Amino acid sequence: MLYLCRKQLSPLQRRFHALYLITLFATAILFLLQISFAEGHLGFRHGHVAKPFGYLLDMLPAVPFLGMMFMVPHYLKQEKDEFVRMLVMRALLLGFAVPMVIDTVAGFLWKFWPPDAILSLIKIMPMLNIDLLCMTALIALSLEGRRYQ
Amino acid sequence: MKNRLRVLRAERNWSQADLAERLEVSRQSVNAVETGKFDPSLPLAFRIARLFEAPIESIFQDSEAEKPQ
Repeated sequence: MLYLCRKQLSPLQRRFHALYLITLFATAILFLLQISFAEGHLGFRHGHVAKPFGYLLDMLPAVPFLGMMFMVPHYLKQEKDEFVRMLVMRALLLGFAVPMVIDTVAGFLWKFWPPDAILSLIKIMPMLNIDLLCMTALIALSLEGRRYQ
Repeated sequence: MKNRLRVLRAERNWSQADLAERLEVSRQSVNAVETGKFDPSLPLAFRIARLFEAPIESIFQDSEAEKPQ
């Protein structure tokens, strides 16, 4: 994500950049895996497997996010460039704000919009939060980076 | 906060990238400080002052203090 605001990255920034992208893709892949499990596309579903294993599979998409919760403070602590630190913080705050706003609006709409398609979309929304956060932060940082070229 | 970073840099014929390398920050940081969009922290301001061998107050001026009371 830092690549978008700075062409020459320090080893620390390169590492964070790689881990960030891994988080993004891992969340998406685990999310698809979890959906496939819930829908029974993997050949087994809840009821076919032991309950603890089923719950573990359900919680899989949260693992990269937990990793990110450790990764971001670690990176911010080590980043020497205070301006880049501020840009990353600002981008992440925006990243948090967007899913929160969408979730809040979707939460209210849930009461007034009962059709099945919308209902299932609203149910999925919280699961997409992490990817939405990562993508928003990515876009915000690239736009911020361009402002100071 | 106003600063004389651009002038001091020009006097030494340094590009933003040169200054950024000497300060160990990104070029964007130098650009943001120069244009007054970002106020550096005290440690970075001291680093800049040390690099240009000048007191901090001769590089950074408080624009509020210049306003008429």
